[in-house]
Amino acid sequence: MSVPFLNRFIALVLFYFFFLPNILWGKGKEETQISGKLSIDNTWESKIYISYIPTFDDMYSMSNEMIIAETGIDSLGYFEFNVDFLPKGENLYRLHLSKKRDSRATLIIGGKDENYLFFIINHPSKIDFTSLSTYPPFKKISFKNSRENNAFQQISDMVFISDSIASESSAAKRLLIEEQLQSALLSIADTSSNFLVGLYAIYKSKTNYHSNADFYESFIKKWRNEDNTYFSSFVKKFPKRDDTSIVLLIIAFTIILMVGVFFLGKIWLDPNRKIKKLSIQERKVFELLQQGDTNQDIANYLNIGLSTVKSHVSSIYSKLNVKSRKEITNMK
Amino acid sequence: MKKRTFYLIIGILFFSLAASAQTKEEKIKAFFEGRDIETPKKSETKVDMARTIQFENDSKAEDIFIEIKEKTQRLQLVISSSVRAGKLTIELYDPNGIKQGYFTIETQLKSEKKEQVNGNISKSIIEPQFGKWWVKIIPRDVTGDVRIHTAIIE
Repeated sequence: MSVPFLNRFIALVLFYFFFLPNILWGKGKEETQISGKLSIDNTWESKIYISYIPTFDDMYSMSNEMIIAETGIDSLGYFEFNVDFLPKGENLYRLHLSKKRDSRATLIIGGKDENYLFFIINHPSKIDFTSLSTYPPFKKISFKNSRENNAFQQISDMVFISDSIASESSAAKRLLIEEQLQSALLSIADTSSNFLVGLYAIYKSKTNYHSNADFYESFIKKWRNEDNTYFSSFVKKFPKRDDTSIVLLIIAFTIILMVGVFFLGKIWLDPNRKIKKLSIQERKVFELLQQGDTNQDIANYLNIGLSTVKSHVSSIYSKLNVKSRKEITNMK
Repeated sequence: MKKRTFYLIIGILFFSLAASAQTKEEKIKAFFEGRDIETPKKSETKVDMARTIQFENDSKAEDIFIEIKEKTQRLQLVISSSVRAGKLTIELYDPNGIKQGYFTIETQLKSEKKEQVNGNISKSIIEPQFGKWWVKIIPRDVTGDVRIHTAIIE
């Protein structure tokens, strides 16, 4: 076997067994990686957890079931998750730490030990962030190459700073700060090109549907094509437009109208309707008139005077709106 | 002489700025640590109150009211809860009925392992709105406890 042939053979073996599978499957593999650096002290467990948050109403819910991954934090504060199993598309997640004395499923809201960070990730993708704060551990955060998460963080920081200032201010000043914050958050929600960022801003504001119905309606209209649990749970909270009840009302009105018209028509078209207007004596005269009897025959048959018969006939003409005996004979 | 006065003024300005920054830093640190920034003056009174509510497979909702008088200087509130079974929701409302905070903690009902889930919330408010603040505790088959600690400076 010549040396060039051997080289070619080895090259082919390498290509088929190493490079080809790598080209076919390796390159196409969709990875999602979350990494970061924290500046925590030793009061915290050196573990960090990710929870999947299915709706914005669950942002402040905690259970072991929600935790989908955990990883260690090294002595310098670095950590890394490889989470290829995340559902496709953009979703909301929460990172949290726990104190050494606490269970892993611990949520601390407010104060120096606030232990969580919300973020969004569009699987498959990679995010990386750095926190420069020790207390609370998830403040002064900057994400690398993630505009959405930096916007998310901007919202969290705005709320945090406003709350911090407001908690140290008088009631009147606090009201002003809260109003300014709400206005800023609604402005972010209105202009954000990312649905989850916009929705996060709304959830962080303390506004409600009734005080800002137009804003909410316009937001819902803007993102009506969003097909996810975040949108459906958001929309579900608001009073449904009464389109359904209006349609039902129109249907009911139409049915009533049709039934009414049907019965009125039936009454109107009833051939006996006019005859029912006649008195008992007039009906007897009417029947005899239909048989073609003369006034004298009727008078004799009913044993009444001729003038009385004439009076009855006149009354029958008037009530039945007829002008001749022939018309009466033709009536069925 | 003029030069010396100029440097003196610059120096004083620098030190006063540094001192003010330090005070601000201290305030923020104190806020996070839940310490009082201003210790109550002699004319002020601080009312500390702590209560613990224990649940044993309980589903009865409870309302805890915190009466805030007019001209109260500060309200500090820490609610800590620990659940070993069931689902617990805590909501905090101001006297206008506006929700000021909430959380829900839940254990996995089918879990046979020993499990504990914790939820804490802390608030510190200067000149809180007077009236009845209330903590709504909504348990569902809960075994665990809720600890409410309030400090009111009047």
